[in-house]
Amino acid sequence: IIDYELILSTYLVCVGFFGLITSRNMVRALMSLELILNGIILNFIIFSNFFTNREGGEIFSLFIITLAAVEAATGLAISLSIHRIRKCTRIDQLNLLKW
Amino acid sequence: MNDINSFLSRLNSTINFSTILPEIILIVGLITIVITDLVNKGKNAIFLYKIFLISTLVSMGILFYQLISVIAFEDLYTNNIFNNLFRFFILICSFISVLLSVDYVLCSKISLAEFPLFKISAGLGGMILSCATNLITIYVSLEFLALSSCFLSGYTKRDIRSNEASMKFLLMSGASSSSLLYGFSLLYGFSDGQVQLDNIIDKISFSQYLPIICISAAFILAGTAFKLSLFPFHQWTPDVYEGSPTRVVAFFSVTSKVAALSLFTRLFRLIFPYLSNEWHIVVELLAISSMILGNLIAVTQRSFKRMLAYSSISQIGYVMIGILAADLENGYASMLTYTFIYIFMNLGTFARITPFSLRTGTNNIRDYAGLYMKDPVLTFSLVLCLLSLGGIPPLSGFFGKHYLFWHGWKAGLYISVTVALVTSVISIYYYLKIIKLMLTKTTNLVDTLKTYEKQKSLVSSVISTKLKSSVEMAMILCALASTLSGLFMDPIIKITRNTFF
Repeated sequence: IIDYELILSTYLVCVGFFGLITSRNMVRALMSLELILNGIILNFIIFSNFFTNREGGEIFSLFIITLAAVEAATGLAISLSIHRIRKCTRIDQLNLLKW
Repeated sequence: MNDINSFLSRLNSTINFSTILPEIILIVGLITIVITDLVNKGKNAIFLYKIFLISTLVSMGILFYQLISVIAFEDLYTNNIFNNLFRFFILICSFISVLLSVDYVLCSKISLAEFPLFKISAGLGGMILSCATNLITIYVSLEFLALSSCFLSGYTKRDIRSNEASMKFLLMSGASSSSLLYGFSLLYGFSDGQVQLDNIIDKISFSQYLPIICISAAFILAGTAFKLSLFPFHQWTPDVYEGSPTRVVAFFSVTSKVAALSLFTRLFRLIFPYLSNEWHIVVELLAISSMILGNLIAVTQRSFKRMLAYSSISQIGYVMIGILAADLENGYASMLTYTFIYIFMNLGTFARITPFSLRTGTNNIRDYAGLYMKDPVLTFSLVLCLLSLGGIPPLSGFFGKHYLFWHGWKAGLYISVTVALVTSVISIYYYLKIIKLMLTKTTNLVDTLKTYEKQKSLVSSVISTKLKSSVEMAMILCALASTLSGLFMDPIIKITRNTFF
């Protein structure tokens, strides 16, 4: 049964990566980043189920949740300052820095 | 009262505070900066920088003292010379880069207290990353460093290029550190629930789970190679370096690379010793391609910062040879020596670009033409640092490269060392192009340099002489270090020798 669980978490990570790569909106990219991190948290919890002392995986998951929140806050702050200048948050319109 | 006593005694026995004293001093400096800024309500911002400088110096002093007397082991930290050297390097980076950014205080109208705050927090993240032996500590400190650098790179909010750079940095660093984390989760699962690096090696059975360990190694490689900007993961480097303010680029071009080097070495040395053949080949490929790519594209660049970004990609390619060539008698001496020299060379180059871009507002290489006539001190120190980056003999870059390539050749990395030599010669071209441009007298000067004198007098009338000379002090320090460290390389090599683990 552990294979199905691992496949589920890997699927979440893959969907998140796809969303991150192909999203034109900044907020959508941040949500996909959160999805990737959630998939990895699920991976940790799955593994910690099989051991007698579950502390390692579960404490690590708490840390990851906190850091995901910090990254989301950072991303939203940056998209806010982009929005103030450009009045929109489309990522593909930011193409000033090239080659 | 009894409970507090027993709690404190238990705390003292589990956490040996003297090992993390340098970090504690930095944290105290951080809190002091926040409180001072709140109390002063935004005036007197120079004082904040002085606090930063003092706390960095005190940390360096204590770390120096600890380098001499090795202190006990711990769970989250181990204190060997390798880790302490990296902490020392990061403190040097923070110190010099703050010297560079002091004049930023008076010449910009953006909020000023957050700048030393984020620099201290990024330095802290780097220092903790150099000592971390726990998967959790590694991930948390890596994210700490990355997010502080992200805030720093988006510091000039009004400039759209800075916003774009920080957005690119955030998204790509989030993606890569989640890839690293996926590798960690596989390691955690298959080593019977261990989070400590030493326990992972004990419990994981390499013969049984070899495919899983290879997959985990691949993900961890992707995660760490991003921070090091090795070949397929280097795309963020030129954009972020060009968009961010120059002082910030100076800071995180050395700090995050040094911290990522220590992380890379520790992870790959400790966890995957049985896979040495596999990951050696992959890292060799990455190093060769980043050397070739970095040097070839840097030839075509027109912006100074972008050219320095590509040249730093190739410098990390050289350092990778040092990592691959580590053996029992020499440890990581070549990599550590070259990193030390690289810090000074890189910071020195940025120390010259910063006042130039402050005075003329441009970063194009063509605008450096004829600088010799206007500002000979800047020109000569820039010449020294660029020649050191290229690897010309009497300067220290040559000695660092020579030691690195000799070490690599002795370890049998013939292809890498040959490619490195060829690309080194190519890199001399684009450094010399700038030097020639600066030193030759042009009959019709560019417009930017015609206004150079006027702006220089404007700046020096506003800021006091003490501040103006802090950038010059950093310039001279880096110039001296990049010329003289080559001659005094023997003691450095001797210190960095016993770092094999």
